[in-house]
Amino acid sequence: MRKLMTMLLCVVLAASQLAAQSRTIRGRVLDDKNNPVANASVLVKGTNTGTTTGADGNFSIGITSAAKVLVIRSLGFTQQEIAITSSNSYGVSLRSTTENLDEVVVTGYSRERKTQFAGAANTISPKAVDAVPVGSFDQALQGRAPGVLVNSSSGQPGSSASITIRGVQSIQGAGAQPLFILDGVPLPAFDMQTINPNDFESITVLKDANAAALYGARAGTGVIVLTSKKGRTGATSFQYRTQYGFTQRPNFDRLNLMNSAEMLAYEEREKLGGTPGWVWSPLNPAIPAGYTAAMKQKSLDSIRNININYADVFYRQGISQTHELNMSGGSDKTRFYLSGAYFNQQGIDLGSSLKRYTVRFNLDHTADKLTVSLNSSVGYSQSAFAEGEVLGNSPRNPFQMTFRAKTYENPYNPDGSLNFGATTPLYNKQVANLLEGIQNSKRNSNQIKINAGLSLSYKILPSLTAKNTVGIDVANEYQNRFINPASFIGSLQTFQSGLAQEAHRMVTQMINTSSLIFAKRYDVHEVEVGGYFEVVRGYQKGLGFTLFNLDPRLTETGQGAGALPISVGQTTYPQNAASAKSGFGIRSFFASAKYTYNNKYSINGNIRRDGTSRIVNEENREVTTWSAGLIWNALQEDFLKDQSIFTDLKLRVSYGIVPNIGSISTNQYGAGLVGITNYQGPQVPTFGTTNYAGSTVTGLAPATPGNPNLKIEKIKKLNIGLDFAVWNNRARFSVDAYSNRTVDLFVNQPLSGTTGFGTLAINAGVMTNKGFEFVANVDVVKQRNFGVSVNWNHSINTNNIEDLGLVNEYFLGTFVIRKGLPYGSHYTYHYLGADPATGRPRYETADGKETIDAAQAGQFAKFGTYLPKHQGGFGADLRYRAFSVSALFSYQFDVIRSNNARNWITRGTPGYHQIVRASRELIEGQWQKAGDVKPFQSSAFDRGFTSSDLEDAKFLRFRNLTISYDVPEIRTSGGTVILKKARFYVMGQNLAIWSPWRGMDPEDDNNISLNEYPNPKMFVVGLDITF
Amino acid sequence: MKNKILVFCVLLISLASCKKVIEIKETDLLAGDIALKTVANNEQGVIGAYAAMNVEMGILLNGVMSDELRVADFYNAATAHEWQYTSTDIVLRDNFTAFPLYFRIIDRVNRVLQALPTATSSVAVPTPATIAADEALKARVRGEALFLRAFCHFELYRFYSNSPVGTDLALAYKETPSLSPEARITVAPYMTKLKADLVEAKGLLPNNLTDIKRATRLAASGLQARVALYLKEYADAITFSTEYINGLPLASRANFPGIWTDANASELAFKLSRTASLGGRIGSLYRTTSGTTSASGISTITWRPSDKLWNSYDQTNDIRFSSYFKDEPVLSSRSSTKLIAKYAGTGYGTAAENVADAKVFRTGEMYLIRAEAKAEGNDLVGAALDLNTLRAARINGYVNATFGTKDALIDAIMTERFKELPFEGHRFWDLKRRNLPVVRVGSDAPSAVGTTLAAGNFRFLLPIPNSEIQANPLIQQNPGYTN
Repeated sequence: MRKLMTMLLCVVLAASQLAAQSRTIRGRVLDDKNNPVANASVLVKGTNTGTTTGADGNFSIGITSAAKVLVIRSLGFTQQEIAITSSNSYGVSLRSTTENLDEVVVTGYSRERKTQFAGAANTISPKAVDAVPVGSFDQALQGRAPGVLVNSSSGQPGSSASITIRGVQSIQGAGAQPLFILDGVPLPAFDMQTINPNDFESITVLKDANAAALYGARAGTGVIVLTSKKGRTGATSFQYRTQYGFTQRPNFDRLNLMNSAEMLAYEEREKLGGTPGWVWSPLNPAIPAGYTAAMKQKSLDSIRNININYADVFYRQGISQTHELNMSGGSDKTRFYLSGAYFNQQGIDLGSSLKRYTVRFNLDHTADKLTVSLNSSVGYSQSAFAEGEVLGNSPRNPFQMTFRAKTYENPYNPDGSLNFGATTPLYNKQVANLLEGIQNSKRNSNQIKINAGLSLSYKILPSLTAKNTVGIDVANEYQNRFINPASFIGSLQTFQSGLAQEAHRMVTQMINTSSLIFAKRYDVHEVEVGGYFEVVRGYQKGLGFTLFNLDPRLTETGQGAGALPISVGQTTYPQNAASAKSGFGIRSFFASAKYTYNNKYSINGNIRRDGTSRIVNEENREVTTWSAGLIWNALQEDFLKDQSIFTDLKLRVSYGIVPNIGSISTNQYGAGLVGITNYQGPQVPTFGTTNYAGSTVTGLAPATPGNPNLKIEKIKKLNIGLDFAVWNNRARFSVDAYSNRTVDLFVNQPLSGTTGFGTLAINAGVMTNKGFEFVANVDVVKQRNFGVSVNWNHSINTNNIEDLGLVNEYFLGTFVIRKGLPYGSHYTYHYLGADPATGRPRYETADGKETIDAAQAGQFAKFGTYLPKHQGGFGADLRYRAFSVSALFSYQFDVIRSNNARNWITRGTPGYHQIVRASRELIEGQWQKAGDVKPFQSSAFDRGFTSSDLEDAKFLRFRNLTISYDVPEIRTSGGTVILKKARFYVMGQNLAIWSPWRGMDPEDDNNISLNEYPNPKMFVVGLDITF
Repeated sequence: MKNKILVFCVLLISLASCKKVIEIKETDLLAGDIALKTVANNEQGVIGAYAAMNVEMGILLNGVMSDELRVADFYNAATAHEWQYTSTDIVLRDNFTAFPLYFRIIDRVNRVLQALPTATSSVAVPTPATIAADEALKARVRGEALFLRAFCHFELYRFYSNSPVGTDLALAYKETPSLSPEARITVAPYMTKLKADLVEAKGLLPNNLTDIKRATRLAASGLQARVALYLKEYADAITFSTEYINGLPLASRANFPGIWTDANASELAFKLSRTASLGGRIGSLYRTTSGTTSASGISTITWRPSDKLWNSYDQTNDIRFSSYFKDEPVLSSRSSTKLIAKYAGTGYGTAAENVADAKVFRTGEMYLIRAEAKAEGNDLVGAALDLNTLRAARINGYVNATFGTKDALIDAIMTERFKELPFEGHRFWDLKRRNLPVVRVGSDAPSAVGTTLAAGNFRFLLPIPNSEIQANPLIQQNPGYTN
């Protein structure tokens, strides 16, 4: 009834306005580059009278004398109001919102003006991830922001990169990822394959205590705040986007492997038993049983000319394509953004791919004092994984076989079929077995992902707003692994007839944030005070089972699986299924206050209390922390009013303490293929089951000792930053220096053997990260039709372990955790080359002498750390009329990694040679006779894992190149607009890499290069059409 | 509009009441009080200790570091075999670190001993019958826990202390679970605690041999005899070995081979059960399993019997030779045709190849303990009788020998231990215990330095592992090792 009344009233009013129409005014709407803005809405404020601009940006509108103000809106621009004067002609210049985003920092809880933001944050243009052909957008953040180390450990489509902000801040939580927040709702890290990054409107990295203050204990390792696109008042806009391209394997020449002739000659020279080069050599007097000299020669001849480049066999050129349709628009009160997208990418590995279907619906509605906004994304993805990612050291792992498969091995029968079966060193069938294995195995994961948030905001008073956001993130995942029972690999499984493993997991996180914010300006004084209450609740549930003895007539199913035979004397039946569930909660109260004087000084402070169920001890469960910040806009000072050098000059200082919930140690419950996080396991004494053959009773054994005193580690963060711009704002710079100090560090304390346990998670010690960050953006040429801008960011981080509590050092993989050294310092024997007299490996002893006795060799920590000290990115954007070119390079240096592949291919012992395609370096570099001064020891000796495996992993990567052409508006001869605008582009990702590294890929997120899925090169052509 | 505000307020209030959110517990975790809740759960705890029980480490060590073994196809244990180890040695770290192994078992039984007194009924609805069964089970579980605690502490003593001198350092004797590092205590109080555990265990353990895969009363007697021998408490050694011998006679020559194939349980009061899938294959300490049903399918022979040992037997008449060894001429192109067959399990290339139960106490050892104790007590007649009885049981057509002096008798007993107990984890400790050198014959020695380890050399005791030195500021390293 009320609605009807309102409508009637509107009609009456409109009619009366019609009657009162008195004149027509005209105008033209242009953007900040003086291009006409088509389809902008022009409304008389407070009425429904309106029109839209034409392709030339022109409009005309009839107004009454009552009309005072025109409101002009267009997607991608800030709304502009102009006063109606007596003039009949108006020029309107709209400012694009993308530039607007440069003026604010989106913290997730609010949008803060940069002039009032004292923290350290970087805004990354959404262009960094938009249309980049990677399945997980975090991969595209490398080189985009200083202090944000982004390293990819896998080229699997959809796999996430590992992100480290301002260095490793915890020992136990060394790999803890920053908190990702999408429209106020947490987005779990390492799980981005079902998110469409084309929907993003802004990406902000919050790095210090003050910027991330409102995230509190969840923000220990930094926050990446994402917002999605919103609709804007104005005509509805449709856009179709598509992309087609391919993925390609990188160049493996840096491995420098032997070809068949070189390998056979090397085997003969070193007289390596069990290798064809020596067994069949005419120089070898031994004639194998059943052979003659002639047969030996024939065998040798038959393989000498086989020279298969296995990189071409194990990798493919994958196809990649996307389709997307989005529309946005809205009225005064209701605005929407809708998108539907399809992404399909084949990886370079023979079996891997990602298919993704996503839908986004964002809606904002303003009703008087109430604003409601819904941001929601629903997606479904199907991932097929590469076998090599789970196989590790195995001749079935194509990533490892890239440097292991012998070029003289022929995997095919004369009829082209695979020659698989039992393998021996002389009659190798490893490659055929690998290929047969890939053809007959599947490892998939299908995920349904929902990320949605609903915000209600109510203006109780003009200066007082109450707001509540409720959000949910759900990842519902089905994983499977099937091995075809009717295949050779299927016959090698337990019970000799295939394998079916299936598992399901649901990971849910819910958040509710309530706030009351008072903001008011009193003349030159601006005050903002907020009180917040927030609850985060997480749930996990998983189950999985394994089936053996499958029906060979069927594939990929447990249907028809036969009964399992019982061994003689077996009295118990194993459970081939498992399940587990867990959950956690975080509750936070916090308050913030900000005071700004005359836009010149702004100070802020906040205090909070965070509590979490992830800490078992009630005494330690809640923690109170605070932060404060100050920003000084120097140019607002009278004494700087007259200078003309700077167009921006801001000094920022902040300090605060951030608890680090993300780094609390967890354990896992197994549930078949999936794992469920056990949040409290390391803090309580837990038991696991074990079996003793002498009893039918299942044994119970303590698994973890439990530390009931664990508390949350805290990071004290200090940041000082300076932003300045010169050359009429065409050259913009930002520098930040920081010092972070983690106290009550989570350490896995080695325990005395008398306790019965190896390690215990405790709070001990102190770690520091000190660093410097620099960003420059310069518009070298800025003309209407021609523009060139360059950008560069660089950061330096120095990590140091200041204290470790009760111990001074302990070992972790290939590195040592030692007081006074940075995290990740490699620890190994110092190899000095072959002993010229004997060919034995030479090492440095602990007291600095040389030895050829491996037992006397000392271990050292002087070789460097795997965490790069320097990293950055630089790029250029070029625009000429409708063409634009954009390039990005990323780099890292002062980084040492352990190169396991290199150890294998240069090991130079008969055992290793038998299983690798050795490095060419052995031909010249291996000791053969007394007097040889060579880097590699004689093949009669082994040097083991030493400093010779540690290599400089610095790299410069040509990360991205985009060339695009903006197609102008197309109309029919009658003047109807067919196409508002279109953009055609070609893009390349990971185009080239320069590095001294002699392994497969210098980039990785850990200390050692094992058998990672190499990062591919990608090329796409794309078209975006707006109509 | 007013109802909108109302809805908003209700929402705020309802969510502000989420107090339980920071008190969420793990629901799926076997932890804390619930793990060892019932008597049956405590039995599970003891089974968990048996699951970690290991005598294989000592079996390999006493072979590799003594004159029992000789290098065969593959040699990667040079620092151990040639006595070059330090506290950071990788061969020791990977193969012979008794420290965490036995303390882990001790922790497992200590948790049971702590929880057992308050353990609840094993069944949901107790009846007088189940209560009685629980009481019996409680007694057995406590006996087993105490026995295992004593056994593991004695193994630790043999690795790192092995001294009869009460004021020498033993290790920490752990009687309660604790995460604090502990210092070593001396042999006298250590052994007092160990013997007390054994006395109590003996009263609780089953006085029958129905289940020798778990501890029995006779096993406790066997351990008491062994402890007494190491401590040179010869009267006790005679008492306890006699208990064992009276309970379990020597195997007949016909039955003797069946001990090693697990066809019978002659002489055994306690053995650790091993299957192909649980507990590991003991025989693989010496050679890998075969790919074919012929010995030629063995891919690597790691260790072969030493010539000194091989040649010490009457190869025709001594049943021990054919039970312990095998000659495989098919291996003529390999490093050796001589194989250790004591733990060979089923045939080459079959499922249970190299699988055999690990024998812990055997009557043969008890006769030799009693003989040595009697000889040390100058009962040369009694000692010679025990030695001759054992030999007669093993050697076809054996004629009793006589011994002129105590030294000659002790020498003969030591030689007999070498021949009776090889690959059972005694030789290296015996030489240390008697302050004798390791002497390898020329053909057995891997190198000049690997020929002899002089009597009393500090390497007769293993170094406290470097990882323990780093983690435990109270620990004392053994003499001769720098850290």
